[in-house]
This record gives sequence, C-alpha cells and structure tokens, in this order.
Amino acid sequence: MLLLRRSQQPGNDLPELLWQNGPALQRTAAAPFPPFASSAAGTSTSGRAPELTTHHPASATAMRDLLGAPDDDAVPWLHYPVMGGVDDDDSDTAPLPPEYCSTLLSGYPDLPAAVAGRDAGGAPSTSHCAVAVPPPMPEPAVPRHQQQQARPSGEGIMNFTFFSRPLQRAPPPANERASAAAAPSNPVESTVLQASASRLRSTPLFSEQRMAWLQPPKDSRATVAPVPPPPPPPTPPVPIRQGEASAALAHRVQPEARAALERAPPQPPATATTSSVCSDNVDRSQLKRSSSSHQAPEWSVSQEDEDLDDEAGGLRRSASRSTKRGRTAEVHNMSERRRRDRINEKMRALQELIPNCNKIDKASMLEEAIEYLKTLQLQVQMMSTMGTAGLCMPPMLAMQHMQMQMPPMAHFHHHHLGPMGYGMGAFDPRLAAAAAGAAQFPYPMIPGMPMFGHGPAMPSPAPPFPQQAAAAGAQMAAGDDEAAAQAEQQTSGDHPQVPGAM
Amino acid sequence: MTLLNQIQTVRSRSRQSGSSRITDEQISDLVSKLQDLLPEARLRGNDRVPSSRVLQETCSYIRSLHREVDDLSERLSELLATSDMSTAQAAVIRSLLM
Repeated sequence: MLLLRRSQQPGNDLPELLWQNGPALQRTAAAPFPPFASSAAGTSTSGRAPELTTHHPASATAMRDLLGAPDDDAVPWLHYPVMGGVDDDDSDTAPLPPEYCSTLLSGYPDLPAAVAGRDAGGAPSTSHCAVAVPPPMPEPAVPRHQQQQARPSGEGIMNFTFFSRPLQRAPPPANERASAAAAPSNPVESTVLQASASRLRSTPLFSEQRMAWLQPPKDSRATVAPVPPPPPPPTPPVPIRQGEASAALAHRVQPEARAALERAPPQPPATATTSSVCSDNVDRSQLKRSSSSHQAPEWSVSQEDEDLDDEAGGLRRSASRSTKRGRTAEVHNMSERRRRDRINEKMRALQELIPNCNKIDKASMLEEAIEYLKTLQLQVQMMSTMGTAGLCMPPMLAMQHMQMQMPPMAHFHHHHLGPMGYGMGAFDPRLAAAAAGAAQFPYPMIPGMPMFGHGPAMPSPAPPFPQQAAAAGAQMAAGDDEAAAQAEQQTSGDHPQVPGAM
Repeated sequence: MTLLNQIQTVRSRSRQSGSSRITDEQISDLVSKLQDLLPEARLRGNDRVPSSRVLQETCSYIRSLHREVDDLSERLSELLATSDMSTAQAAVIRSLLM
C-alpha cells in the first residue's frame, strides 16, 4: 500500500508513540479540530491527502510522514481512529469517529460513514473542499457506512478521507442512485462548507485558502491574493465529478479570476468565480454564485481573445442597438481583423527567416523576401550543378553573376550560405575583373552554365572566363529558358553550343 | 521595370497623394509575385490563394531551401574530399565551400 511504503521513513518511532497516545488524545475530541485545520491546511499538500485516505492501519504513521511529521499537538487527530479498527493498537479507538465527527460537524453524524467509505481516489486532496464536504450527503453516507464497517480505513485518516475526496466520493454513490441524489447533497455540502469554513476561520492559513471561495462576502479582500492557490486543488475533483463542463469552466475561471482580479473587478465576483470552481461541485445557486458564475463565461470569452475584446464589446453594443447592419459590420470587422492578424503572423515568421531583414513595412519586407527567395533558388541550383557536374565553370559564372546582379544580397550569402559566402568573398577580385568584362548576364543565364559542360577543363579560370562567358552569354541568351529547365537534369552535357563557345 | 522600381513608383505616388500608407493592392501584388516564385506543388491552383497561405508556403519553402543548401554543401565538401578532379576544379569548389 502506498501508505505503507511511505511510512518507511525515519521517525516512525515517534508516530508510534503518538499513536499509543492516541487514545489519550482521543478524549479531547473537540480541541484538535482547529489545530488540525491549521496543520492540515498548512502541511497537507493536495496530492497527499487522497493518498492518506487510503485505508491503512498504519495510516497515522503514514500520515505523519506524508505531512512531514507535524507536531503531535498540531495533528492530534491523526491518531484518531475515524473508522474504528484502525490498527492493532487502536482497537479501542473505534467508536471515536462518530463522536468526533459530531463534535466537528454538529448535525452531521454521517461524517464518519462518509469518511470511511471514501477511497483515496488519488485526486489531490480537496482539503479545502473536503472540509466543506464532511458528511455531505446523509443518503450516500448510509450505504457507505455499511461499507465502512468492513474496512479498517479511516482511523486517523478520518480527516483526510473525510476531507480529501468528499466531492469525488459523492458522485459515485450519487450516480449509483440517481443524479437527483447529488442535487440535494450539494446544498448539504454547501452548508457544510460554510459551517466548517466558519469553524476553520480561526486558522489563518486555512481561512485564507478557503475563505476565498467559501466566504466570498466576508473575506473577499483578504483572499484576493490566495485566490489562485485554492482553485487548483478543487479543480481536479471538479472534472471528475462533473465532467468537462465544470472542468472547462474551472480552468477558464481560474485564469480569468486572476485576470479579473488584476483588472480590479468587483471583489465578490472575483472570489465568487474562484468559489464557483468548487461551487461547481457544491451548488452554484446555493452559494449565491450563480450570477458570478454567469459572469465567468463572459470573462473567459473576453479573455480568450483579447483582440476580440473590442469586437465583443462592439458586438454587444451593436446587438443592444439591435441593428442588423451594425452587427454585420462588426462581424465583418472581426473576421477582417483575424485575417490581418494571421497575415501579420506569417509576415513575422517570414521576416525571421530572411537574414538581415531590418525592414519594418510590409512592402519592403516582401520585396526582400522575393529577392531572397530568388537568391536561394539560384544558390541551390548552382550547388546541385556543381555537385553533379563538378566543374568550376558553373560556379564561377554563377558567383560572377551574383556578384554583379545582387551585390546587396551578398550579405545573404555570408549569413546563410556559410561556406559559400566565404567563397564569394574569395572570388571577389577575380569576379570583379570578370564582371567588368563580362556581359550583363540575364538572370536566366545562370542555369545555362552547365552547358559549358565539363567538356573542356578550364585551365586558367579567371582570364579566359569573361571572354568566353561573354561570348557564351550572347549565344546562350537565346536558349536560356530551355537551359534553365535542363540545368538540373544535365550532368555531363556537351551542349551543342559549348563547342562554339570554347 | 524592375520590381524595385515598381515599388518605388507606387510609393512615390502614394506619398504625393498625401498618404505614405502602403496600399493593399501593392502588397497583394508583391504576394502574387512571391507566389510565382513558389514551386507549383505548393499552390492549389493559382487563383484566389489567400495571402496568408502564400506567406506560409513561402516560409516553408525557404526552410526547405535552407535544408537543401546545407545538404548540398555537405555533399560538395565530401565530393571535394574524395574526388579526383583537376586542380582548378577542386580549387574552385574549395573556395566556394570554405
């Protein structure tokens, strides 16, 4: 059992000692509640509580370990056998739970039953919620009570089982019977929540964490800051309990609640939204959060897309004006805006791809993109030609051409071409001389270079090239387009024009 | 007229008109030119391809070209190391790659 393993930690002796003192502490049932609250709230992490609820005889020890070995005074309740038959040591602690529970939550004698029946479920402890849910449903508790007798769980876990997954436990039995059962239980839970909340109010930590959504009207201000923490613990049970809708709302509500807080919305609604996270489980109407919960979706809507805020407001305004044309215009504006945003996003991505692009306006950026794309295509063509033909002529001419036609683009090469860029630089003097003498090669001329083929090897690259290139260029001009198409495919090609050029 | 000249003409015209705003027409013109550069496979028909789609395809095309260039560079360097071309050829390629 999980608890068993966890209990394998130093300090087990102490818990055992405490455990033995359990019965002694047992008598002071009423006292430990506040300490429990503070320690539990302070030490128990959401994730642990449910585990603690896993019935285990050594639960007290385990719980202590999980809780980081809190002080005995802090968690005397740990050793309280919630469900009787906790352990060999606790044979006489069985009857505690009912009394304890009664002291804890007057009017909810079913608590122990409910607690006992709960399984850890593994969801993070809704210790906050859990406190609220103590004996949530008398009805569901009844069947569970029967189960509880069979299980030795609970014991000191009472609090955790009882507090940790009340929400989770509630649904299964409720579902078994009828969804209607859950409904009546919710009010019970809510009232319990409030009752326990009031009880826990004494403990500052707990009150802070719980008051936020438990008692919004009272602690609304104090809980502004802690609002974010509480929602997460209740959130996991929420989806389990009520499925996607509440979960989605909860998830939405949390960030929006926070954002709403930042925006300084009315306090009650803010806290109400966070409370609505739990209220999903409990009962929105009961907690008087129906109005605020209604607000939450609005916030989420407006928050999901801040860009649409204006449009949303505009939509509402136009809707209020009930002008069909206004609405259509608003919709149109919205779609137009979305389209623009998409385009802007793509432009930004494109800008990042283009090296040394310091243009801000769209048009010049697009121009650079076009030129860069051409450069890249040319480069790829040239390199593939080099790879296949393996001759110097093509690359020489290509670089020559590039130097001539795209001097501003040279930085492109330096940036991206890496090795190529360097080569470009090295060739500069020769290329410059060649360029001076060479004809203005049209762009399509480059792909025609392979036509020089690897027929005649060029012994001295620089001097003869310009002349030959010029001559070839004149001849090539006619067949450029075809050459461009064939450039990639030609490997060794004694092009008909080559002999003429050479 | 070269592309740049076209752009400049349009810009000067807009400036003369009192607004330095870049017209949508100008931008769509550029986008169509960009579209022409893209390989055919990237366009589902050249009619009414949305600008965002063209830009997106351009980005991916540029990225693929980058990859191709890197690939070719590698192959060329290998070729240089292993082949037995003439000194001139090897020199040329080496100068390109290094």
